[in-house]
Amino acid sequence: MEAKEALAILSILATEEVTGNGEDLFIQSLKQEGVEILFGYPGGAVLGIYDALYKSPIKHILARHEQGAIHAAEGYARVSGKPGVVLATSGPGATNLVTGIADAMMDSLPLVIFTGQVASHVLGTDAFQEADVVGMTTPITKHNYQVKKIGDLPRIMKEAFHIASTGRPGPVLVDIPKDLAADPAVPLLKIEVDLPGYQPLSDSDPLHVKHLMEALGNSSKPLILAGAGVLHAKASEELLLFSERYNLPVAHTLLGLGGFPAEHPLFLGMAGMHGCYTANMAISECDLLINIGARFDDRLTGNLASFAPFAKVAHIDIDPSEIGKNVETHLPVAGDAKAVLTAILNQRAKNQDLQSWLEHLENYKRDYPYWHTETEEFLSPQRLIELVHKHTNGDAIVTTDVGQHQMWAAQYYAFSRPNRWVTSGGLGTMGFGFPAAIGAQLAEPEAAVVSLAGDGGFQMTLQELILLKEWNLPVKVLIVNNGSLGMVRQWQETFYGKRFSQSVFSLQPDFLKLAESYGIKAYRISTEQEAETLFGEVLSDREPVLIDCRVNPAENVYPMVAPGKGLHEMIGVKT
Amino acid sequence: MKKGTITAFVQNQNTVLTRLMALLAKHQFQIESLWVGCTEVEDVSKVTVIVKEETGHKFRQLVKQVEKQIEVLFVMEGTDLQVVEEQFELIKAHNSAKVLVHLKE
Repeated sequence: MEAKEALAILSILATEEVTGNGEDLFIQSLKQEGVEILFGYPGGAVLGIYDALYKSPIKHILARHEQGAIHAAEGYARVSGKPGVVLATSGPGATNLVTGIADAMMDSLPLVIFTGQVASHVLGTDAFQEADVVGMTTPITKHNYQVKKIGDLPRIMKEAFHIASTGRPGPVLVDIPKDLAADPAVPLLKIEVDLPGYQPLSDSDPLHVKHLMEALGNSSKPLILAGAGVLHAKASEELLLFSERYNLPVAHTLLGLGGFPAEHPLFLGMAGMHGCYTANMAISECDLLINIGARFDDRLTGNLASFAPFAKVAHIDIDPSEIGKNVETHLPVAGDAKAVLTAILNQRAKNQDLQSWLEHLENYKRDYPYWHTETEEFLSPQRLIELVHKHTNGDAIVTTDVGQHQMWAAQYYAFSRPNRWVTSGGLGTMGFGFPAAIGAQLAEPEAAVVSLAGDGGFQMTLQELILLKEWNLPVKVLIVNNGSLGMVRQWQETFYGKRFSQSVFSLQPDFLKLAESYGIKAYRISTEQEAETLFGEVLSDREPVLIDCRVNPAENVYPMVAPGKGLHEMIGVKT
Repeated sequence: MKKGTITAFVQNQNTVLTRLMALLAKHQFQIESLWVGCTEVEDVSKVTVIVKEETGHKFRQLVKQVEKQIEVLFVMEGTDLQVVEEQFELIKAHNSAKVLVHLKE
């Protein structure tokens, strides 16, 4: 143990009354890990822990549903880079967390989740509020534990935080039987992480980097594809230096947005199903594809048979199991994105003349940008996002669910720096964005936070509205309201013969009255002019607000790579 | 169909087997044999799985996923473990013979 840590523990012990049971140990361990905020919901199996929390200065955010708590923790983790910490009771408390755990696993977000469990002597008897939480969360956690004796708790907690936040981040769950938490326990001064089977990579193999540099020196059409790995590794600066040194164009994945400044001349845009034509064509035509921290998800690659057909593929990833998983990789570089990029920057590749390649891409950018039509009758959702961008100076933290509004936000809100973009990518979770905005605002109290939600997704977690009032969080909730489950409706229109099966809402709540009942100011807009005026007035306020934005219900997201098609076969491209 | 063998040395924790079996199920492998036992080293167990192997690529992915698990200390795979496989066949033959004798009685 570092001397600093020992001192920290001693100071905690010296300044506080140590009553010496598991619950107190739990709180002490949280403090040692520097936890400031806990997202949670009490219940029978965690009564003791909540009792210990009663005396503690740790801020507890009482969500109104466990799902709200865990999505808020995800938003907090995404923006702060620190683990989001969740506490819930056994049985239904824990099962309500499952969506958030799976979401965090898919998008590599560091979470440490504590669940209460029934007392150890009744485990396995179908006791009241018993559920096999370790069993059900095994496939959706990076790791999980059930505490068997209270003496293990400090070590397990230390390991949980370590595992969640190192290597490829992910959710770690700790299940604590109620009786154990109440057991008398002596605080430990010496806690050792003992994980011989867990050695996260940092530095890469110099030979692999050398091969990559050689390939770069021989490439006349190189391309960088940057994913969220760049953000997790805090490697945006290195990415910019690398790109600028060799004039390498950069495309982003959905989750990578913000890793490279959108206004940079070398930025092509987002690639993938609803990405921009230039980025997708660049992938289809490049002769060297350098993937940094992206996992070649199917929404990014389209039909694998025609993905990057002319390219040598290089893949830099901290998780070796991602390399070669979906796309055959010629130049594997296992390692942390920042470490690898630093190693790359310490070397020199032969400079190639990329002028004609860059000009070619420039032409694509000029001829085939994102496009949409605007009508007199309706507010265009794409224009709405542009106006949000304008009135937040392009620097707000933007959160979304999944679906049309998410794609429009990704296309039209040009992110110029990291950790402003909080979205549910891999799992595609409706109801994620609004609670995530709460967590994001708690992580950065001074930042402008805009929660863009569909009218469908918002209704899945809207009970958390009360938290805006309770904690005076100036989150701006914009409901991109098209009266339907837009992306489902779009697919039914395009691929299911316009049979709109269960995708159009026949009845909606009055979102204004709803917000008012929570004590939150609310407005409705349905024209560009109204949006312009209202955004100018309220988006920079330090108060929460809900805006019901009535947008064109018939609008679809384009361009698009249809299912089963290759990236070069986009439909709905500007003509 | 080819067979693939994975032997993982793991830390003794009650979730480790669940985790490995969940991985096999997720990747849609059919288990032909599964053997779990203690080793000479305290708190370390050895898990050997023989699976029907559809493609080399799919099998390599599985091995990487097994290696990634926190409790897994190290992994051996593939044809270098032919000996283990042969032993399994022997055990199977031995047991089925016994069962047959038992049934006849």
